[in-house]
Amino acid sequence: MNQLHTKSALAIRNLFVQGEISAVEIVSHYLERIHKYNPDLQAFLKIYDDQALKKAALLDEKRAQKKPLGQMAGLPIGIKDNTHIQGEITTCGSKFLEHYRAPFSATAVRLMLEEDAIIMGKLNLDEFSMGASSENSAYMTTKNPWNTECTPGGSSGGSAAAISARLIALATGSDTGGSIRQPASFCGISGFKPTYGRVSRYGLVAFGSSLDQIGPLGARVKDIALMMETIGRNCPKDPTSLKKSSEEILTSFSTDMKGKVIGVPHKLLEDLKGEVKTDFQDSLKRMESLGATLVDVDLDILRYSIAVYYILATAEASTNLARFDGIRHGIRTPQAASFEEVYKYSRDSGFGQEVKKRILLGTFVLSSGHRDEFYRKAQKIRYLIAEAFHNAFNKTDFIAMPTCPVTAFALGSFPDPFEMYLQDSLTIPASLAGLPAISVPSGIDSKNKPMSLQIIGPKLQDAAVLQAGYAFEQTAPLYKTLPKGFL
Amino acid sequence: MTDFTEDMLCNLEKMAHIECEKNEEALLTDSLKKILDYVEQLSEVSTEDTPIFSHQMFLQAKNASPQPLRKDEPGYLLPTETYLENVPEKTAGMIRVPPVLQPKEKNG
Repeated sequence: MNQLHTKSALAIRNLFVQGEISAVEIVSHYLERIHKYNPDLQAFLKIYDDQALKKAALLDEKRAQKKPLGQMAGLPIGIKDNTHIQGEITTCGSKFLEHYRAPFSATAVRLMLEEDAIIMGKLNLDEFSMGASSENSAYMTTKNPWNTECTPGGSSGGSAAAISARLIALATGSDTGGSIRQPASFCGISGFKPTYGRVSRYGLVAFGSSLDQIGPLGARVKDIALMMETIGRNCPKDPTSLKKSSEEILTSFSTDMKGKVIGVPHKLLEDLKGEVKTDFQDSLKRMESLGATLVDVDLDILRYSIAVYYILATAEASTNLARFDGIRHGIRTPQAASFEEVYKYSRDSGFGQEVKKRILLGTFVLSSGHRDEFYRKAQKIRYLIAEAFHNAFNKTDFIAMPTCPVTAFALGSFPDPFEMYLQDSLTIPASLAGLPAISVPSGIDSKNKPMSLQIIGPKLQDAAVLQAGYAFEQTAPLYKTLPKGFL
Repeated sequence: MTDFTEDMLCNLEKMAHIECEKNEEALLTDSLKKILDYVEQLSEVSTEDTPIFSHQMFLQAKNASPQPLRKDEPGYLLPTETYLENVPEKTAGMIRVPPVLQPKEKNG
């Protein structure tokens, strides 16, 4: 099956379960693609050739013995390298954790392994997920398969690039302010940020604990729904995990949007330009053609989202990253003679510049004399943002906006990272409010760069958001178009 | 405009246990100043009677049953030996650290 990688994850799983292909054949096909394309793309930090083939052989044996096969049986998946796999290195894209071997598996990883998924490797990211271009990784810079001069986005850039080039069938990412949805958009694939608490954070190295969520990236909405059915469930090891069991999502999929009301924050989006603007207008018409009704909603308060985010996310990061001290974790610099020097030298040599900057900013906004001015103020405006969404959902089922106001930009084109922060304006709001949001490819611009529609739903309406994403995807199934050079 | 200086940066470095290269400090000061200038826009928003955000607020109101706080009981902990596997320096089942107190120099 030379074109196996063009099939959906669901189709691959069914081929395996029905005995039409072996797991070893599936893994071999994808390993061949990984070794062919990864040297240029730089999506994988680590490739598990032997482990993947060994797991595949075990699955073939399990099938031969007619034992029940899991929901993700035979599917080759990748894991963002801020998520633990027991016994494997978790670098978080940082020199600090170059040798850190995970003592346990993340709940999301464990659940997928229990459903017979096959892990092919660890995927590149911005250091500790702090970035929007994957250029902040201490190890490599991932390229965008649609244009290798451009970024795949970030921080889950390795995950998005690997799916876009069809090097794996599904990948995990983590989303703190858009780190699943923005790279999905830049790479022409789908990405989903679940409701905060829907997927366990146990085993995810924390960046901003009140914002972080693990979520799926895949070529098709049905594929990411399959992963959500597997990983979206309560976990006693994560105190913020919602008391909800897994839900059946795939069975409810249809293309009917009759009776659904979609809110569009026209005023907030008045600065949209060029092809992103026309593509968004076209996307809304496509939603109307499915039977949805469009209404205007006031979400003007969302324009403060970036400012709120960079206060709260850095405050939480400065606290979370305090554990990386050279005493308990990571590297210990030999020239340090005192306790204090171990901290200082280890962190100085282990962290990259963007991480240091965010820790310093977070320390500042939490410091005595500034906490009320910055941190408390931002928490209050976060409330107003969540309230504005809540009020909008009293008269709508979903909110629609582009995932990003821009398409993939050239690598190295933002010498000042602050300018890059401003590109996250449309993904950060759902993160602040803890809402489920999906990015679905909506078009390809004249420079051959993908654009996407973002659909945001009320809390715990994850299945409904995925259903709406599926319906929209059927109006122009861009998953049929692979980037040139990766056919 | 935010009054953020290199002296303030040095103070932050001490608090955060991060020592930046001297040649990085001017750039970092400018960069942090730019971000702080940007976030000043939040002062436009009146928040006098606004509560602090919590994920529970809108969850309880619309979609789900209340999520009670967990009991204050010890949860799952990693075994000591497993934990120590990633510790840079250890001895006799414990983390080895450099001296916290330095010995006094003898006078005369």
